[in-house]
Amino acid sequence: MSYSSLIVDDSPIIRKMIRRALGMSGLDLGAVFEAGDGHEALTVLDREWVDVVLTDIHMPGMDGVELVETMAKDTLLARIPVLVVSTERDGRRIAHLEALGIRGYLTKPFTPEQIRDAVAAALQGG
Amino acid sequence: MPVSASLLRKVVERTLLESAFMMTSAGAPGGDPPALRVRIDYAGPEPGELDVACDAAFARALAANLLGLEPDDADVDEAAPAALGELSNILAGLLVHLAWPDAGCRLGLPRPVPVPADPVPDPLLHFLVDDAFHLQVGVHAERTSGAA
Repeated sequence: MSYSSLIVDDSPIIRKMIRRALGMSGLDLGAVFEAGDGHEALTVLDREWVDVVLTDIHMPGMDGVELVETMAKDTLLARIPVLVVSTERDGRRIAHLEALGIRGYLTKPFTPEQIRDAVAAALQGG
Repeated sequence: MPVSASLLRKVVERTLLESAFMMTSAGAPGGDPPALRVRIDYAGPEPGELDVACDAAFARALAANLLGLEPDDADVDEAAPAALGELSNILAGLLVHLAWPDAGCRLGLPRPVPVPADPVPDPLLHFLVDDAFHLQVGVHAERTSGAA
């Protein structure tokens, strides 16, 4: 069974970096969708089946925190595991996101192995 | 912890290896003059600015590695400035985390800086990347321990 993923980041380069890391991870991944902010992500989630979301925090428009909060309030979206991938390491923000139910928090720089382990753990827990 | 040269070197080495699979070693002034330069502010216990300058070849190689493209791919040149901006963002994030792990520092946005025709005047750490490319990284802060 292959899993579909959604990468949410306002930087096309970061989205490609994560996509590349996912490709190198060895996980059985199917479709990889991309979004530039939380609003675009919700549009994708409304249209496509997504098994795991990887999102940045700081984005124009709807940021990652608001995206996670919005997903947590939706019965269906709340079941999709979310991983945060960010340069930020603020303990309070991480604690808030964990309270909302994110399945992992990766900081940049990240290795393909770290992406693999985080995504695998998130999918297992789902 | 103030930003030291050794800390800055560690940040650069780890970031380039993990993000772009590029190996760094201590370099010396030389090579082509920097073609691209980016600065990014950070706020925290000791606010400052990270300064990153590189030759054109490094920027292209960085973009190719980050994007998983061949170096001669048509998209690489266009992506090079953005790639350097992303590198500076990741460098700054790791730097403030290692220097002030409990402070929750905030980062600004990477901003391009015009590159002067003369050598970059501020003292920066010089790196040789993949034995071929030149990268310079420095910190402008209120108090440093010789980030040069």
